[in-house]
Amino acid sequence: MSGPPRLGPPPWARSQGEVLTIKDDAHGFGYWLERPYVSAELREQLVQANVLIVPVERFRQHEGPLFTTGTEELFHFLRAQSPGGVVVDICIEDNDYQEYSLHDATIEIAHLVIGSLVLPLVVHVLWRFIEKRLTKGRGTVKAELTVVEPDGQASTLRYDGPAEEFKQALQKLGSGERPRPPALPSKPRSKKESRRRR
Amino acid sequence: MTLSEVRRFLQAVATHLVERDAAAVKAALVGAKSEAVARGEQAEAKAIWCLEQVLDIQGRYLRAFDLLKHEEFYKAWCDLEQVEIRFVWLESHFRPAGDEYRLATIERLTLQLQELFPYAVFASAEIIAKEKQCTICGQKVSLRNPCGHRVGEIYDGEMCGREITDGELGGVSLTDKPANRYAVAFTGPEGERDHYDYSMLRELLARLQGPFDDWSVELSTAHLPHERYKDLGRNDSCPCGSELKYKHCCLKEPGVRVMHYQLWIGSRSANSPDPSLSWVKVRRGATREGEEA
Repeated sequence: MSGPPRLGPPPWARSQGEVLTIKDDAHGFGYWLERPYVSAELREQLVQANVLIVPVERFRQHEGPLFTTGTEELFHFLRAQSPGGVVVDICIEDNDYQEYSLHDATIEIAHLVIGSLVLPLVVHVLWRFIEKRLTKGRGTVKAELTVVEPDGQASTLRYDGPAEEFKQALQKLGSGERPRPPALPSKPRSKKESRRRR
Repeated sequence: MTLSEVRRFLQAVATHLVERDAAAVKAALVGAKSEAVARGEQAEAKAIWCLEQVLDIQGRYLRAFDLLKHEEFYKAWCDLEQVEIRFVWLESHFRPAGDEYRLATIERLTLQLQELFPYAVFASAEIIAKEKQCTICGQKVSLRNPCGHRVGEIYDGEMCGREITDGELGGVSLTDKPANRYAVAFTGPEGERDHYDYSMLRELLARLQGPFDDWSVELSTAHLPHERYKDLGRNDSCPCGSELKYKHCCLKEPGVRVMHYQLWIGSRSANSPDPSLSWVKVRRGATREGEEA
């Protein structure tokens, strides 16, 4: 076993937190278009979007919309690289755009709300953006994707883990499959519990 | 000094910092770059920017090696971190052929040296950037009316970035995975601030004559006997760092898992590893094999 320097826990450490979570009944496009920091003029523009970059509304003690560092590059990359039919926009006025930076090695992607019809087109572009930021093809990714079905039903996928596994989750999303969180290992049975079962 | 002479200088790579007249090379590159920019030769200016990075990488690596020889470990760490950052900058602009300018060797040895440092916890600033401007044109960053300069691209021989012109510090956190690894957490008492154990680096450096001597590190998993951890309860965290309970992790194994480091001096095909250069690391606290963890 060899490779670039590792920081943090040893390679066999598995986070006790869940890497992938899915939340049904999430906020779709309509919710974000009604946020107080979206003017009527901006709303008219955002209503065209089928990929919307949305902010974090509370970060530590800071109240108000913020985007993770690198969102500016993500916005321009998605706009430049997405195929026809994909309309990318960002849920903030130009003058109100602010970023937070954790200065962490994890590649954090801003929360994306995506119409399910364009999802297969967007996931490939999104992965290309992440891939350019990996060091020697490795790294960890934190992302939140809300997929909105044509009937307005929305579900949010939250991911925080190795980039390679995120690529697989994106591929499943792109192929129309909805990735499910891995089943947690069953808790080892205590001696008392085993006796009771017998 | 012409650009061809600069390239020959960089290709030769002096083996020690003192033998190197980098100032003259730097001046030649700055002059050639400003001439290229004046002529509107963007590709040439970009190629010269790449050579500037090569010069910087070589200089910082040689300095880091000197600092390590003088046991200035933290300063050497900062130079190695800068070397790593410049490799990231260069990645999308310049692909050296083979070991051109010894870049492949420097990159490999830098990563290996970083692996042997005992640093594990870093401070990391959380910043809220309220306003940013482009470092190329100075225009305020605007999402819908961008200046057109892309972060990381080279314009007029300089790399485009973003400068925060209005911001606030959100906080400082301690992390094991910072974006930049300068802010090492030193916890020793006043006057003995650096409490880290650099024995792996010391013993390696004692065996190396020059910065380009070949050596490698082989990592594997070893097991330490459970008797060493007899004070631990079954429900305590496993000492291997898995974040599981001891009873659900290594207690079921022949011993407690640790990273095992074995150093090879010289070419691996010609030598066997030096048996005196073998360590286990327990949660990044370096321990010589056979010593108490």
